[in-house]
Amino acid sequence: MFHKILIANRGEIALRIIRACKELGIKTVAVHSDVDSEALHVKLADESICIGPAASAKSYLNMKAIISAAEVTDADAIHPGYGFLSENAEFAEICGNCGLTFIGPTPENMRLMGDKIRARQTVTAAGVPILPGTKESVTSAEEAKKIAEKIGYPIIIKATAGGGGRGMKVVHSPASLPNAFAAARSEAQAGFGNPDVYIEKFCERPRHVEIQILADKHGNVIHLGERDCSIQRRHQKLLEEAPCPVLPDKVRKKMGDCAVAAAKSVGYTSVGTMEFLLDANNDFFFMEMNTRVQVEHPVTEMVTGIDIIKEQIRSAAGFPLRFKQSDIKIKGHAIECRINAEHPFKFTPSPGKIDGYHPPGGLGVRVDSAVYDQYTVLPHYDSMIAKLIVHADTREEAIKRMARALDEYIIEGIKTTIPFHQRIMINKEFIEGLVDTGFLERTVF
Amino acid sequence: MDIKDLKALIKMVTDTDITEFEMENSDEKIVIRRGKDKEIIHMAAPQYVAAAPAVPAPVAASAAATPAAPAAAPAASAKNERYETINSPIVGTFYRAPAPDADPYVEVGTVVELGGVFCIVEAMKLMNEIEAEFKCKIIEILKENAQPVEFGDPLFVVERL
Repeated sequence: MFHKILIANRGEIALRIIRACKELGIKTVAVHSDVDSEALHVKLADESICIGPAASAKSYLNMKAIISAAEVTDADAIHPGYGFLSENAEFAEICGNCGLTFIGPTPENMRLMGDKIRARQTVTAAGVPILPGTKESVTSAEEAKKIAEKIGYPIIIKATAGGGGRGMKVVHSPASLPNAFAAARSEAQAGFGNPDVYIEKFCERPRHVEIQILADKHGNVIHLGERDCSIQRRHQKLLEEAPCPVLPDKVRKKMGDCAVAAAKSVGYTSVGTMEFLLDANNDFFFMEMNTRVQVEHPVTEMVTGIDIIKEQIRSAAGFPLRFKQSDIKIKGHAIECRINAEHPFKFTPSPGKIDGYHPPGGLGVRVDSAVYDQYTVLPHYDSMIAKLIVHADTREEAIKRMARALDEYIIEGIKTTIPFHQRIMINKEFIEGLVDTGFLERTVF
Repeated sequence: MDIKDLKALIKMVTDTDITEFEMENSDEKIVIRRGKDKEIIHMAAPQYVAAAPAVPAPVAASAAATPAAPAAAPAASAKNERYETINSPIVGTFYRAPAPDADPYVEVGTVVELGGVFCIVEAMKLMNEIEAEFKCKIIEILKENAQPVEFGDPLFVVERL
């Protein structure tokens, strides 16, 4: 087992990893930018090192500084969390070359799944359904026109090197295609340094359903069920739940088996998530695979009872999985609300000092947060300050519990999206479990 | 006493009106004395003497203090408006000389020209020379040879010339 892990991240996920390490008896090193010296993950780690100024590029994305920090503290592994360097194959490689274990998948698997075109080809070979679309990048507007006609409108143009909901254009008619194609290419170039785009059929009113994968270095891969993350604003998730309220058991099993088969086919060795679109006929199509632990992993933890970060660390240390697929049982229902330091309905950022903080409690309530009373939320980093997670026997009860917990949650001094989530809890479409990814856009709060 | 506790102790002194604090047990004796605008910290353990920082901030090194030969660092340095600190621009290991058997780049009193090298901070097996951005004289050397340093860690007190 590792002796000391350096956490190359900040905020709530850094805290989450430190907690898992403490329970495993592993020493922790927090790295931080100079403005983050009062951060909770810095206070709770065994050691901390300042690695750079506020700008992420010079601190949390600064590979040299992070590796150097691991060297001076004698860490034997690095956990990258999510975002930042978690899906950076070059960083994973450098860790390996420096004798540090990168807690995540291999650089090869990261590259494979990071390239959307290759990912689609790979999962197709493993029998996973994908949306009708191009197998290679589309190089000209004329080619795009032919493909769009073959697939049938509406179509979506996506950046090959993109992800996280960025660099996508929906086209409903041939007239708008040439402009959309050109715009998509320049956005892809600007956003990801690569202008390549591909085309897929666009699903109307789809649900975003993803499967959590857990794998070890001995060829064992299992899945931990699904999460429904359809509530998104501009393709950023705001609320997630497990299980998906409308998924029939047959489809659930098929989705899980597909995800495991695809992961096995590439020799996947860590945690990961396979994202699917679920259409109104309960047909599902592969979207992308995230080769890291995700923000919303707690809802899966609540319904399965499994500590995903601990299992990820054990797997990275070379231990075989402790569970077989038949050991995994889904119990009850969990919901997670992402609380951001933003205006609740305009979503404009609201950093500043929290001068009154009281998190909710009680049975089935979990708060994953790195803020505290009198803490100053900084403008330099992303605005999520807490995840409020509830678990109950049924979805109906979970919604009531979340509403109750949101009512108790006090965060004063800054604006937060708590009122926004309170409105969702009383929304009829949400309560009936009928939301799809277009829900937020067409719903007025 | 490990660095985290020492930091907490120093914070306690600076957050209050305490001007002098002394603590002694069988292993070590700690004296923190607060001057007009500086804190002087003495920590005597069997083999280790910490260098006092010239600026009113706790020593920022993250690794726990390791026993080393007593440093010849001065016990106090009066803060002077002409004095500035040279802080580490990267995280790594501080070295006084270009090689283990070579002479240190600077000593107390050395005049460093613009572009002159103060020291090396090694990161990932690369020796980064830390250069002077203005002509100055070394007043105090704040780190031990081979000591880990973090971003922003003060390395030298210098007088701008």
